[in-house]
Amino acid sequence: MQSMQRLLLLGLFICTTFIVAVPQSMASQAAGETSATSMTPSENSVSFNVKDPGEIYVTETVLEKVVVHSQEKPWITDALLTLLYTIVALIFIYTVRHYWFTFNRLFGTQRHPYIDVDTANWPTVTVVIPAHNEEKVISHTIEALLESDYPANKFRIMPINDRSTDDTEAIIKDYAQKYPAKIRPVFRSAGKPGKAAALKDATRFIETEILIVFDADYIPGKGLLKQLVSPFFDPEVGAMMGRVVPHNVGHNLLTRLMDLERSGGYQVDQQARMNMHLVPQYGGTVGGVRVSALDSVGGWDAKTLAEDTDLTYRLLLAGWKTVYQNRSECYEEAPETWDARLKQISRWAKGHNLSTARYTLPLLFNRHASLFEKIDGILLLGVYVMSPLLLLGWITAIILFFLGEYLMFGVISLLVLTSFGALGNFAAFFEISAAVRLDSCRQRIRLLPLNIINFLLSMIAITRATFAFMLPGQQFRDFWEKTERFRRKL
Amino acid sequence: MWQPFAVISLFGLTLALLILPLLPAIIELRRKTDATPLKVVQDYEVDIHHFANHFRSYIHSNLQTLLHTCHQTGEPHSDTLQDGISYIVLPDDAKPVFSKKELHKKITQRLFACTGTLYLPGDMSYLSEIYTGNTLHGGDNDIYRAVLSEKDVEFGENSILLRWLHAENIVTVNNGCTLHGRVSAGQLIHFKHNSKFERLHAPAIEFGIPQNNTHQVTETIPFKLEDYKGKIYVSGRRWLINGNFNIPDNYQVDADLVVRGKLNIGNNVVIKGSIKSHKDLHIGRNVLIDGSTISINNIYFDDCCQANGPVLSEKDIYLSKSCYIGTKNQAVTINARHIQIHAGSVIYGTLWARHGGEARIDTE
Repeated sequence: MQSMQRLLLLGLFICTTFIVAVPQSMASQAAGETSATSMTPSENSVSFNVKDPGEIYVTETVLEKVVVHSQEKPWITDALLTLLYTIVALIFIYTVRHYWFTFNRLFGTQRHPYIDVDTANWPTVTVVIPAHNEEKVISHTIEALLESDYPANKFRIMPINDRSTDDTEAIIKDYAQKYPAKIRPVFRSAGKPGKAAALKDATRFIETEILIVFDADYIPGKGLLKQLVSPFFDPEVGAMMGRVVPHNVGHNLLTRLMDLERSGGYQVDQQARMNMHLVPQYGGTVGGVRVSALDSVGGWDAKTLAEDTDLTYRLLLAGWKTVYQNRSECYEEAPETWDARLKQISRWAKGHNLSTARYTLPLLFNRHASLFEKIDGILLLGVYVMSPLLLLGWITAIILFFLGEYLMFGVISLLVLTSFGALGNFAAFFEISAAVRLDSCRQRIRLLPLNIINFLLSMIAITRATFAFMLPGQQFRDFWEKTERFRRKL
Repeated sequence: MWQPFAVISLFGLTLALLILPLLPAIIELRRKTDATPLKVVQDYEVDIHHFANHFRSYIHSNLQTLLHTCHQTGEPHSDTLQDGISYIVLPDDAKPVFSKKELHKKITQRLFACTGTLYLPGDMSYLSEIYTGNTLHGGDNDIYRAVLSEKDVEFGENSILLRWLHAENIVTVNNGCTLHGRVSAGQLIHFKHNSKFERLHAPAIEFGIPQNNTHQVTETIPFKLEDYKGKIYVSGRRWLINGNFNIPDNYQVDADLVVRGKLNIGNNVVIKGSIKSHKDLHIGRNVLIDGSTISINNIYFDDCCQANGPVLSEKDIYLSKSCYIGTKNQAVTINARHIQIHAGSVIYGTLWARHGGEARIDTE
C-alpha cells in the first residue's frame, strides 16, 4: 500500500512539473510563432525552405524582431501567466487528492479498527454540550444521551450554558434537578464568549479520562457513546471524530445540497484519510478528546473560531493521532437558509485560515508526522485558501485573454476546463457521487449539478471571509458565532 | 421578418441546452423521491445477542401456546405459521420426526422447537432455526442455520453453523466444527478440539483445557527512561518512539507505550499501561499487559501471557499456549482479521475474527 502511495506521489509530482513547466515553454513558442507568421515580407528578405514563396518569409530582421518581441513581452503578462499556472497546478493537486480519496473509498482497504469493541473496562467520560440560545434543540440532545447504553457510573453529561437569553438555562436546570447524579451543568455569565472559550472553562471541571463533545442540535443514538469512546483504548489516539448526518434533508434545496456535501466530506474524505493513515479531522462535535492529550497540548484555544481544526493540528504536532469512525453516525440539523449557511462557512473559513497561518510551517518541520501526514495536513490546511485563489485564477485568465494570451493548448486546456468549468475541479462532484453510492441512495445523485450553486456561493463567502481574516482585529470575535436553529421547541 | 423568430429560436435553443442537463435535478427536487435522511440506527448496540433475542420473542409470540400444549400432551405438532414458515414442535426429550423427503435429501427447511432436551441425528442440514427449552445435542456432520438453547448446546464433530447460536449456559464445540456468524453463551464456550470460528462472546471462552501455568509473577526491573534520551518522547503517561523498539527481559514499564515501528517485548515483562505498535508486535513468554494491546500489524503472544485490556490488530493475532485475555471480573474484546489460538488459552468476553479464526488444540 505504501509503495503504491509513493508511486502515486511520484506521478503527482511529475504531472505537476509537466503542467507548470510544459505550458510555459509552449506559451513562449506559441507567442513566437504568432509573431513570426504575422510579419510582412520586406525587400531585403532572404527566404529559405519555402514551397510557396508568397506564403511565409523568414528574414534575419524578422528573426531579430521575433527574439526582441519574445523578450519584450510585458513583465505583467509573464507574472500573470506564472500565477495562473501556479493556481491551475494547485487545483490539479487538489483534483488528484479528491480522486485518490474517492478511489480509495471505492476500491481500497477500509479501516475500522475500533468499532467492534463491545466488551471492555470502559473509561470514564464527560459529555459536554456547549449551548448558547439552544432552547429549540438542547432537550433532544440531553434526552438522547440519558438513554445511552454506556455504563451509568462511568459517564456524566455537562451542558454548558453560555449567556443564553432564551429558555436554555431553565431547561438545563430542570434536567439537572431531575438527574443530579448524571447531569452536572456549567453556567457561564462572564469571560470570553464562544464555543472554544466555553469548552476551555468547562474542561477545568472535568475529572474523567475522556471528553465527548456534542453540539446542542445533535441527537446521539443509544450505542453511540461506546463507539465514540472505543478508539481511546489506543494509547496513540488523542481525538476521534464520528460521522455527521443531516436529518432535515427534505426541507429545501439547501438542506438537500448540504446532505450531499456532508456525504462527500465524511463518507469519502474523512474515511479515506483514516484508511490511508493521513490526517482525519476532529470536527468539534460527534467526537471526543483524551483529556490527558488535551492537557499536554495546552488545552482548548479560546482565541479561535475553529477550535476543532486548531486542536487536530496541535495534537498532530505533539505526536497524537486523530481518528475517524464512519459508522459512528449522529443526526444534526443542517442550515435551512442560505444566510445561515453562508455565515456558517464564513466562520469555518476564518477559523480554518487562522490554523493555516499557525500550523503550516510547524507541520512541515515536525518530527512526529510522517511525510504523507505532512502533505495531507498542509493540503487540508489549504482548502479554504483555494476559493480566493480560484477567483484570482478567473480574474487572471480574463486579464490574460485581453492581453492577447491564448491559453487553450495542450494538457493545460483540460485543466483550464475543469478548473473554471466546475468551480475548482470535477473531482469534488465525483467524490459526492461515490459517497452517495456508498450510502446506497441512488436518486439524490440527480441533484449533483445543482451543487454548483452551493459551491459558487460558498466560494464567494469563503473569499470574503478570507479577506476579512487578513484585516487587523478580524481574526477573533467577542461574541458567539453559531448556526441558526430551525427545529421546533419541545 | 424572420429575424425576430431566429433570435427567439436561438434564445430558446440555448435555454433548452442549458436546462436539459439540469432536468433530472429539477424533477428530483420537485418530486423528492430520495429526500429522507440517511438511516442512522439510533438504537444500535454492539449486542451479539441481537438475533437470539429477536428469535426468542418470535417463538414466544408465535409458538408459546403450542410448546406448552406439546409439553403437556407429549405429541409432536407440525404446521405452517402465518408468515409461511413451516415448523415442528416436539415434546420433551423427543427425537425429531422427519418426512421421507427430508430424510432422503438430508435437508429440512422446517423450524424446530422443543421445550426439553433435543437430540438431533447426524448428517442433516437444518436450514431453518432451532429452538430448545433445554439442551441441544447435535449429531456429527450436521449443518445448522441458527440455534437458540435456553440451557446448553453440544455440537457433534464436523458440524457447521451458518448464522448464529446462543445458549444460556454452555456451548461445547467438538472436533472440526466451523462456526460462521455469532456464537454466544451465558456462561462458557468450550472448544474441545480444532475448530474454526468468527465471532464469539461469553464470560469465558476456553480453548482445550485451561492450564495452570498461566502468567507467573516474577521480579522485574523498572525501565529507565534516562537510557533512551532523545529516542523516547514523553508526554504525560505516554511514551512515543518513532522507530523500532525492544524491551529486554524482566523489565517493568509504567507507561502507555506507542512505537511507530516494530515492538519486541522480552520474557517476563510487565507493562503497567497500554501498548501500540505500527509494525509487528512480538510479546515474549509470561508477559503481563495491564492496558490495551494494539497493533496496525500482527500481534504474536508467546506462552503464558496475560492481557487485561482489549487486544486489537488490523491484521492477525497469534495466541500461543495458555494465554489469558481479560479476567473473570473484566471481560474484554479481542479483534483481528484472523486469530489463531492454541491450547490452554482463555478469552473473557468477545472474540471477533473478522475473516475467520482457528482453534489449534490438537496440534500441540
